[in-house]
Order: sequence, then structure tokens, then C-alpha cells
Amino acid sequence: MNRDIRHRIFLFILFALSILTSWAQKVTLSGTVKDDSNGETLLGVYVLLSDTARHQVVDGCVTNQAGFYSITVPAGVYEVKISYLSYEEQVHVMELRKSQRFDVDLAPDAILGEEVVIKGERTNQNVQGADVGRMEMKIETIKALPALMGEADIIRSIQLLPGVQSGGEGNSGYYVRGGGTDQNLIMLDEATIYNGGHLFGFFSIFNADAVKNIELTKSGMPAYYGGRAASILSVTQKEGNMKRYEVDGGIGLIFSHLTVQGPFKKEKASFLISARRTYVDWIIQPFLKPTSPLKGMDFYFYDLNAKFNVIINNKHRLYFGAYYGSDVYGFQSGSQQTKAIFNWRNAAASARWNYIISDKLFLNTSATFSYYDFGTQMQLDVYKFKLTSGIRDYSLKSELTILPIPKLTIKTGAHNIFHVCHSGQYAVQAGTGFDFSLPQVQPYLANEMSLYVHTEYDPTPWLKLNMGVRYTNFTHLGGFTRYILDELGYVADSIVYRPGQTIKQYNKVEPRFSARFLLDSMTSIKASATLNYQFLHQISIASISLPTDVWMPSTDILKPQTVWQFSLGVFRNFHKNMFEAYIDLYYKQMYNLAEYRDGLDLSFVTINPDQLYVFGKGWACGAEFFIRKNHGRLTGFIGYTLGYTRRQFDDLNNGKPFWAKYDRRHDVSISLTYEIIRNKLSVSALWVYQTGNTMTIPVGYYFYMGSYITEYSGRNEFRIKPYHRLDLSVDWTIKKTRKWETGLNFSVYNVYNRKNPFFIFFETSTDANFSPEDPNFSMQTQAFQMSLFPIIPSITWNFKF
Amino acid sequence: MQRITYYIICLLTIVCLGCQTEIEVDLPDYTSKLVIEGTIENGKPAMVVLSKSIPFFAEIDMEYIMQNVIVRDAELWVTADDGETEQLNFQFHGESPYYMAFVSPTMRGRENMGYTLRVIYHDTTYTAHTTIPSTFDLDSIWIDTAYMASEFNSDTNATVRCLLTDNPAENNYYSFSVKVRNEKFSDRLWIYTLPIAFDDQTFNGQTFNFEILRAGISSFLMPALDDEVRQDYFRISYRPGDTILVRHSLIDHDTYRFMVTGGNDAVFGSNPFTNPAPVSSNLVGENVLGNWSGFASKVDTLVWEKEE
Repeated sequence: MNRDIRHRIFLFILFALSILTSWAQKVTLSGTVKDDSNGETLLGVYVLLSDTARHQVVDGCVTNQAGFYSITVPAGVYEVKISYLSYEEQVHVMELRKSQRFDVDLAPDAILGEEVVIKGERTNQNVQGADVGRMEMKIETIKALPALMGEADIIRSIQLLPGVQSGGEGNSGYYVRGGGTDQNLIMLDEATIYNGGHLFGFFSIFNADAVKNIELTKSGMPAYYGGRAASILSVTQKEGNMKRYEVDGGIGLIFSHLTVQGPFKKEKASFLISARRTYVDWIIQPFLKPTSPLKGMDFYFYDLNAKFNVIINNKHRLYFGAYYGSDVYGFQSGSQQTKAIFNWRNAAASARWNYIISDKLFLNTSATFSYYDFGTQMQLDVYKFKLTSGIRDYSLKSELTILPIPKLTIKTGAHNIFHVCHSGQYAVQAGTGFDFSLPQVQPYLANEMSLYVHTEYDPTPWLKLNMGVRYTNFTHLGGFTRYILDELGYVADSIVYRPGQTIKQYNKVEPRFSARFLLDSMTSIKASATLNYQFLHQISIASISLPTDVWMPSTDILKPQTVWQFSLGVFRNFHKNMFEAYIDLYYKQMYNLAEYRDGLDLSFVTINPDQLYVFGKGWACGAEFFIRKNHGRLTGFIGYTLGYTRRQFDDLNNGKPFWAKYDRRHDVSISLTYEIIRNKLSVSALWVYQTGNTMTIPVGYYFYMGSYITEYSGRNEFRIKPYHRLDLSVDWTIKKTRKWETGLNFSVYNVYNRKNPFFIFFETSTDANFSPEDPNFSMQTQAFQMSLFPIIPSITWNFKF
Repeated sequence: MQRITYYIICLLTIVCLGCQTEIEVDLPDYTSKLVIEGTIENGKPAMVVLSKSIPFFAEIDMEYIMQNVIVRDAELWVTADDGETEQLNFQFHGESPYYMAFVSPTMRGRENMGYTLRVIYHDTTYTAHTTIPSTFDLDSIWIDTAYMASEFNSDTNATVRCLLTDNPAENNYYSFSVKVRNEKFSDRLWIYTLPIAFDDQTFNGQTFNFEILRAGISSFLMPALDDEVRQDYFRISYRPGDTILVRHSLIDHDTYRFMVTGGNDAVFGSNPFTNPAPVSSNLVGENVLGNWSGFASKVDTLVWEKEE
């Protein structure tokens, strides 16, 4: 052993000893923070420890999903501040000589029913944290926004955030920083939701009454998240009131919703059940003409949420959550020769076990099940057509949070998901005695196993580092038959894989890094670089995402989407954190993006559907500007995104690059709420502006075989008109006590009745017949724009007792 | 799938009481392209219709078509793979949409033969090659009244069904078209059934039961009819008094791709939610549209006698 190596070992031992020594002199304060009114654990509460002599913050942290926090500091006397927006802040002076547990119940300031002075200002976590692209929205903020038909909508609300673009009028799909809708992972209590929309996307599936917390991560994705390339939307259901029974409800013009919650055993176990249903189908049926397309047809959606949780002791807690939602829509032509019924179902179930092993070890283990299926039955004259598709996930995840030394948090875990993708089963019937069922399309089976380590480390007060790495093994499994096609698309050969046999395996490592450089207590610079792989794909056959779109796993043909993202931002708060603002720049490089090949031939569907796709790459870059006012009678935010999104596929658009269909140059959201009478009466306004979507447009046509065939522009060369609208709402709390609350919400959607483009279509008008036999023939094509929502006023009565 | 998308959109529009407004679309400058509609069929002369494509929002009438669409000043040759060559003449032809076309004076299409088309227009040469495969016979073909009777309680409407046995040794591409003749009207041009063309991947080597509806009727190039007859003309089924000519053809792969992509555009091109796809073509040259198509065809005739 040479002298240099000996010297290094000596230094390492010295370093380790110094850590252990310093650790030995430290104490840990840990506990759980709960809502005093209902016993629900609170996520994202700031716990700050300050030096009582110098009044300087020594350390702090944020509660996790289970409301748990843990801080290790040198023994001494500290001022412990626990603060959370809309809750009364608590300040305790504590002498910490040994590690101890300290559980806190925070009282919501709104229920006190009297003027409350918020003692402390909002903490500057948005400046101090290193989580660059994570944004939270409180459910109260969402409920305060003006809503379409009075129904608070979570996905519509997150579409207002910078970098998040809506799919357009009447579409709950969203695009994050140039990624596709399938690149967004939506989770409800850790279970994946594969279709976040009701009524073809007009409303999201999340019932705001049953939701506790919403968190969106769009960059700097930590290693404990994976599986999607653009964003993670994590929605947590309420756990149920631990202290008393409570009923919330609302009766609106389109929906009604009811939530019941309460303790099974006070302070030990609680439940929550929530339901929503539309009833427009019942209301309009008596008024429909016999020839109406909706006469006698089902036309509704509903959803059910349930949650149960039990505190076994102060170390163990169990949660069980479930969601089920269904949409059914049918219509027929006046002659009843054309009939169509669409239905789709979302289901998710989760079981979670939280175990506080010690004040420095926290274990979260969950098992989830996700289910989505879509079906349609159509009759067109003598043809009957049936299509079914869907996906099921079985998932098990365990994550250990370790706090080994002060200023260092480690999260490490394992996650396994087994995917079953039914990419589409078709059956055709034409005429009598002729059933033509296409061969069974095989389900695609795949297993996705991930291991990860995520660290959060503050080496100095001005530097905070979040680093992590995620390893994923993704395997496409048999039974499966791979058909080898010749150049004409005919089956030349086939390979049969037995059940469980590995067909294709991907081993991918995703490094994740983000850093915060604190310039002063109110200003920071944040940077991140991440690599994400996505092994599931949903490719839209239409120009908008629809429930018909199927999910496909990566195979030997369909390779994992690969996205590098870099971001750099300046974050600054003003006026004691009354205002928070940021400017964030991003750049994305995307590979293995998939689209349907041009001139799609349905016969391929019967063989291997993953042979329908072509592959390309993409780029996205942009700048996001955001400013929010947090306190005072007037609150709200202004967000603006300047964005560019390009694609290039060798087999599309003659290989030339083209704008993505949701490329939006400008995207503006302004949301303001003014409290006229505190806790009584408030007005809100929301204005949004978006550059119009791109589209491929006809430029010419020609006659052939007695028909006319269209000639198109280059892909997505045309841009439709911009989208903008103003919404207003008034929230009137008629009565509010500790036991009873009732109020009315008046909303006006699209106040100035803007005719926003839903789609553009073309109609050809002719005089006489196009025939050399008819000299009076003339013909012209005109363009029309279809708009969906005019000005829509609505009123909803809400109650709670 | 595209049709599902279309009906979803119809449903959305109905539900949301959508509002429709005319808009102006600012298109880039458009340069018309040469359109070549060429066919050669066993036992028939080569026929090529040349025309120009039209700006999408142009207002056209018969005068515009005669002056700006139909192309007469071109030189065309067809050469068989065995060397037989002939220049085409611009002349009257009953199966041309415009009654005029470039036609081979003596050359007739032969089964299992390839043909090259050469078009010289304004000093630019365009070429294409197609094949006439072998003709085939149907196992049987009949007028089927059962379905319409059971589903629509109608004994005056019928479909036509056929049985065909696919040749397992070949990749076969089929196309069916019909002409109906009765005392009210007579189809001058072949009307393609839906699908316009299909391959044998799902029934290779098997006997296939196929329904032949008069489904691909276009409102363009229809004969001049009075209103009463016009209603009868736009029907996909058959009625007593109809003489039904069923043309069953085999085509080559390039023609199949052209017919599928062109047919999809004709049927679904107006659906604003589909991603439009370029129409396939076997023509070689810049700024040219259309196809040179070989058909190996036979025609069966069915007569549904009208009861007096």
C-alpha cells in the first residue's frame, strides 16, 4: 500500500469520525402535523427551527405525504415554527436536550369565524427549495377559480400554470413543456389513472370534494418518480374526518355531488365516501324530439371515491383508497340506421402502509391496481362494428426515507409494475349470417421494475443539491406471436413466445440532478438536468386525444421514449413573501417519439399493432414567467409561457421538421380573487390566452375516379385562431359555523362570448351536378369554424354539515 | 377507427350545442399540379385522363374546368413489358369522366403483363409502371333479400353477396365495382364498393363471403337526373328492375395502395380530427398526382326482375 493511499484512508476515517462525533451531539425533533378540525394529516407544512438568541433559521423541513417531519439539530433551545397557508401558525420555544417526538394540530384560520391576524408571513420555500419544477395547488385555490358549469376542475386548474398547456376547448388533456399528453403520469393515491377525463375530456375525473392535495412536477423530476417523460401529477384523496361526521354536497345545473366522512373510531380510524353524477340525460329527455340523436339514449358519467384509514399506533398507519368512474354516451340518427354507444371506465385502488421505524427512518409501502377500458358499438346501415381496448396495472412499491446526518435526506426504494395492455379487439358484422370477427389481438404483457436513490443535501446555506439515479428494467413478456412482415406488409414468418418468456428487455439508467444557489434570503437560482425514459406509449390516431387511444408498452419495435430536459431559473420573493415570482428557461431533446404511419391500414391491427407506428425526434424550448400575490384581500397570479415545439420523423412530412400540433407560441393565464367581505363574499376573475393550435390544411384538390381527392399543406403548417376567454365567479358564504356551512357559487364562463375554435371544417356547395351533361355546374369550398362553449352562466348551491 | 373518431366528434358537437361560423383561411400561394388518371384493363384499351389540380377555395364552373382543368396538349405512350409500344390519341371515350381521354388505338391490356406509361407535358416527362394480374372467377354471386327483410322489413331492397376463394399462393389485392341499369337511370362509370380495395391478409387461401353494396357513390360526375330519380340514385342497395353489373378485379400492390389512400381521403378527408395522409402514387416525377392502374377484371351480370 503506497503512502498516498494510506493518507487517503486516514483522511476518510477522520471525516467519518467527525460526522459521527457531530451526529452524536445532535438531537432529532420529529412528529406528525394534522389538521385540528378533522384530524387529516397535512402534507407540505413548513417546520422551521430558529436560534432563540439570534432569531436565525437553523434548519427546516416540509412534512411528507404522511404528514411526517424530522429535523436533526445540535442540542439547544429553539423556536419551533409550524406554518401552512390558510392555517394558524404555531410557534413554540423548546429546549431540545434529547431526541423527541412532537405532534402538532394546526387550526385552519378560516373556521375561527373571527378576524385572524396571520402572525407569520408565508415561508420562502419556493426560493429555498431545490425542487425546480414542482408546483402545488391547494384545493381551496382551485375551488375559488371560476369553473365551467360551476364544477371545480383540477386538471383545468393546473392547465393555468406556466409550462402547462391545455389540449384546447373541451379537452382535459394537457401538454407539459412540449411533451405529449401520454407523457404525463396522473396518480391518485399512487395508483395510475390512464384517462383523466369525463365526457371526452370536458371534465376531469377528480372530484374536488374528495381531494386533499395536488402536486405537479414538470422538471427536475426526482428519482423516486418515473415512467413518464414530461410530468407527474400526484393527487391525494382526503382521508376522512377523524373527529366528527361531516356531509358536503353541491347541487348544480349539470352535476350533483355528495361527500360523507367521519370517524369509525375517534382519532383512530376514519372513512370518506364521495359520489358525483351528471343528470342532463334525465332532464332533457322529455324535451327531445323523437328524431333527436339523443332520444332514448344513455348519456351520463359518474364517479365514486372512497378512502379508509386507520392509525394502528404512533408508528403504523394504514390507508385504503379506491376510485371508480364510468362514462356512457349513445346517439343515433333520425332514421335509426346509425347508432353508436361509447363507454369507458377508470378504476384505481390502493393500499398504503406507513411505518415510522425511528425518528430517522420512515417506510412507505403501497400496493395499487389501475384499470381502464374503452368500448364502442356502432351500427352503420348493414354494418355492425365493435371495438374494445384497455390496460391494467398491478403495482407494488416500497420506499425508505433515511435521515442519516443533518442536512441530508435519502429516499430509496423499489417499484414493480406489471402491465397488461389490450390494444384493441375488433368485431365486424355485415348483413345476415355473416359474422366477421378479426383474429384475437394478443394482449401485450410487460413488467417494469425500478430501483432508485434520491438525495437532498445542503452542504452550505447557499447551496442545496437534489441528486438521484433511477434504474429500470423493462421487459416485454410472452405469450406473444411476433409476425415478421415482408416489404408489402404480408406475414413472411412468425416467432411464437411462450408465456413468461422474455421478448425484449430494456435496462435504463436515469440520472436526475437539480441545484439551488441562494443569492440572498429572497433570491435564488435553480438549475436542473434530468434524463427520463418512458416505456408506455399512447399514440393518438386523431388530431386530439380521445378515449379511443390505446396504450402500448415498449417492444422490440416500439422503443422507450427518451427525454433530456435542462432548466435554469431565477426565483425571487418580495415584500416579506407576499409576492413570489420566477423566470424559468427550459430545453428538451426527445427521442423515439411515435406517431401512426401515414395511410394507416387497419389490417395491420389484426397482426401486431406496434407495427403501425413510425418514429422520430423532437425539441422543445421556452421561457416561463410567473408572479403570484399570496396575501391580502386581492390574491392571484399571472403566468406567461413562450414556447417552441418541433418534431422530425423520417417517414412523415417528407422527412422535414414540423411544428407539433400543440406548439403554442404564447400562453397567458391571469387569475385574481378579491375578498369583498372576509370569509363571506369574494369575486374571482380568470383570463386565458393561447396561440392557436397548428393543423394540416387542404390547399388544393383534384378529380379522380368520379370523386375528389384533397391535397394538403405540409404537416401542421397552418395555425388556427388564438384561444382566449374571461370567466367570472362570485362565492357567497351564506352561513358558516363550526357545524354548518352553506353557500352559493355564481359562475359565468366565457363572459364576452368569444367563439373559440374547437375545429375547422370545410363544406363544398354545388349548383347542379358536376357533369359534362350539366352546363350549370358550379362549386366552391368554404371554411367554417366550430366553437363549443358560448357564454355559460351557472349556479351551484354548496352545503356542509 | 377513423369512423369512430368521426362519430365521437359528431356526438361532442351535438352535446355541446356547437356554434358554427364561416371563417377566412389565408392559404399560401398554390401552384396547380398535373393529375394523371390512367387505367389499363385486360381486353380494353389504355385510357389516360390528364387534368390539373384546383386551388382549394377556388370557385369553379364548367367553363373553368374546360379551360383550366382538362389537359389536352400532352404526348403519351404506353409500352408493354414485352416491347409492344403505342402512342395514345386524345379522343372520345365513354368511360372517361369528361368523355374525352388519351386512348390507345389498337393496344389492349393483357393478363400477367406489365405496362409503362410515359407522359410528356410542357417538356417534363412523367413515368409509371403497373401490372395487370390474372383475372379470377367468383365461386358464386347472388342477390340477397334476407338481410333487408329481417333488419328493415323491406322486400324491395336487397344486397348482393358473393363467395370467392382466395389463391393462397399469391398476395392478392381485390377491387369491386358495380354499375346499375334500370328504367330510371344507367350508371356510365363504375361505382366502387366500400372498401374500394382490400387485400387477402385476413382470409388468405380461404373462401370469403363478401357483400357488394353500391356504397361509393360520388355526387360528382353523376348523370343529370330530375329530383325524383336523384333520390333513387343515391342508394346503396338494389331494387327490383335493376340489372346489376359486378366488376371484380385484381390489382397490383401500388394500385392497391393508391386506391386505399385515395379512397380514405375521399371518404374521411372532411373529418377535421383525422391526421390527413398523403395519397400514394406510382408516378415518377415532380409535382404530379394520380396513378397508373392495371386491372384484371371480369364482369358478372345479375338481373332482379320486377314483378308486374
